[in-house]
Amino acid sequence: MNKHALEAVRRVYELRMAELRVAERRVDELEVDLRAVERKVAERRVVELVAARREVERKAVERKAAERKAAELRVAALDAELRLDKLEAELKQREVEQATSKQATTTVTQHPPEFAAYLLWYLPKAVRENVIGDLEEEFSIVQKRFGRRKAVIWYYYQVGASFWPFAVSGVKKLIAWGLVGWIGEAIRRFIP
Amino acid sequence: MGDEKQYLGGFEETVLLAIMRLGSNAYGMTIRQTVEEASGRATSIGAVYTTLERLEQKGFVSSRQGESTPERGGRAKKYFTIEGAGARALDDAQQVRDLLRGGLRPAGGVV
Repeated sequence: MNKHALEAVRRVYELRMAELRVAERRVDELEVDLRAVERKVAERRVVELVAARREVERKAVERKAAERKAAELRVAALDAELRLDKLEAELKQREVEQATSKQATTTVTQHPPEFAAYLLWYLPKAVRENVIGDLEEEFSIVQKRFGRRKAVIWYYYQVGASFWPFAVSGVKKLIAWGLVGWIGEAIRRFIP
Repeated sequence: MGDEKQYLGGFEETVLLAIMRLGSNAYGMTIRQTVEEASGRATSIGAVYTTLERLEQKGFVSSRQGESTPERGGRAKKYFTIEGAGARALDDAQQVRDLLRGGLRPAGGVV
């Protein structure tokens, strides 16, 4: 082998060596890039995990807040129920008081109409007090149920309708005593 | 004359039955209400008292003065109780009715 050929081989060798070095440098660069990419991926993953963890923590905080709110609402509901019961009891008490007060007022104003009551004094003495008492007692019942106006009408009806039976009864007694018979006989004698 | 039967009128019978039904709470107002509710017709307290007076004269009922209440203006109640004669009169009236009613349809005519 001559000198020129040897030189050529050496140049080829150097060239190949230079290419090898370039390739090795390229490998090194790629390796660095790969590590950088891996690192970025890892960093992104870490960021995502941190975000997820923060989200979980935020949800946990929200849940706790919701639970606290629910507990507060339960307490408020119980409190409201208690207040409602108390108000209902107060309302009932007030209704009872009002009813008692109304009853007391009614007792004061439940007297029957004076004129009609006055007419009853013309009833026979034996039953007068009982009739007046019965009518007065029932008048207050009718008034509570149907109002004063209807009670007054009812009372007048009772007074008016009560006179007729006593009148008939009185006439029957007169007949029984013979007074009417005697008067009738006397009239008959005078009439031709 | 003592054994002579005293017959009951229709309203008298109703009043007697009302007294029997009311028991110890039979006085003018309750009797009137019971008669009115049972008959469905307006009944005056005067009609009730004249009938009660008649029944008392016949010995069918007896009366006693009761307590006075503020609702009655302090006037006493007069309670009525049915007597033996009254109960017998009711039985008699029922017998007569059963006798006459026997074999008759409710709407009239013979069974």
